[in-house]
Amino acid sequence: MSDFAIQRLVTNLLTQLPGALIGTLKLEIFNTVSTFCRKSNVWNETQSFNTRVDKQVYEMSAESPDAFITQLLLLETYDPADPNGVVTMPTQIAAWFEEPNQLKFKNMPTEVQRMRATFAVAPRPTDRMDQYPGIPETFWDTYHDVIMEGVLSRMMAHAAKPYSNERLGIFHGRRFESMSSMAKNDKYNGFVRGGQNWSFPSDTARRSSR
Amino acid sequence: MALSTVTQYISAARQLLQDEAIPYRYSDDDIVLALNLAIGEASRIRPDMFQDYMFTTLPTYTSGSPGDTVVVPAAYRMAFLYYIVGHNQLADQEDTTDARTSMLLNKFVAQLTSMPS
Repeated sequence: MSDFAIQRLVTNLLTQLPGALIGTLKLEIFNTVSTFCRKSNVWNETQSFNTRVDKQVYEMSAESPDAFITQLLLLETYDPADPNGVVTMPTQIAAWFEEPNQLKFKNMPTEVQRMRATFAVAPRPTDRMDQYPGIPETFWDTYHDVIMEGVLSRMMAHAAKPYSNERLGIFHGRRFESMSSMAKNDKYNGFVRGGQNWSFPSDTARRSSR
Repeated sequence: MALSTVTQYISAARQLLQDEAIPYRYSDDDIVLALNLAIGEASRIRPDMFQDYMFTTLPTYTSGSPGDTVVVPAAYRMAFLYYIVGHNQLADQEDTTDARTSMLLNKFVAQLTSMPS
C-alpha cells in the first residue's frame, strides 16, 4: 500500500467533505476502487497455464492477494516451440467463466497446450478495512483523480450528513463515470498518446439515448 | 485536548449548567447517563460515527471511571456536550429552561447532520 498516496487522497477528501470521518472515507475509498476496477478493467493480471487433455473447465483465481477475477480479457495459446510468442503469433481461444473462478473452454482440449490468460481483477473485501494490500503501488498515483471523484460522489449521496449534497454528488458521479471511461480507454491503448483518439461519448451508452 | 475524558465532559457540562458549587444540583451519574444516551442517539443519527461498534455493543461510561477516554470524534465533541446539558435540563420544571433544553437537543442533531450549525 502506498501510505503517502492514501494519506494525500484522504486529506484532499476531508477538505471537501466537512464533518466526514476517516473510517467512512476509507470504506468509500474501497467501494470506489472496487467499482472502478470492475468498470474499467484497469487492474489486470496475466497467468500462464497448461491445458490437459479432455479437461474443459479450469479453476482460476487471482494471484494478487485479496483480489478476485472479474472478467476474462484475453486467452491465447502459443506454439509449443515458441512458448513466449517471439516469432509466432498467438491464437485466441474461446472460453468463458461458467461459475466464478471456473474457466470453461468452448472446445475440449485434445492436446497439452501452453495458455496465457489475461484477467481483470478487483479488490476483495477483507477484515482489514483500512488496508489495500494487493492493489499495485502505481494505481494510487495514476488514478488519484478518478478515485477522488468517485469517493466525493458516494459521500455526498449519503443521507443526512453535514456533507450531503445531491447536486454535487451527481456532478462528481458524472465526472467519475467519464474519467473511468477514459482510464479504460487509456489502459486498452497501452497508455499510448493518440492510440485511439476517438471513443464513444459516455452519454451514448445510456439506454434512453437509443 | 478538551473533552476527551469522562471527567472533562462532566466539568464542561457543569460549567454550562451553572452547577459548579457543592452540593451539586445535577449528580455525576446523571451527567454520565446523558453522555451514554448521547452516544446511543448519535449512533442512530450517524451510524458511521461508531462503525467500529457495529457488531458489538456501544461504549458506555460510568462516573466511577472518570479517567476513561470517550470515543467521540473530535469534530463532534461540542455537539455531545450540548446534548448532555440539554438532557439534564429536561429534569427542571422551570419554564425558562424549556426553550433552552429544546434548543440544545436540536442543536445536537443539527450539528451531526448539517453544515450551518
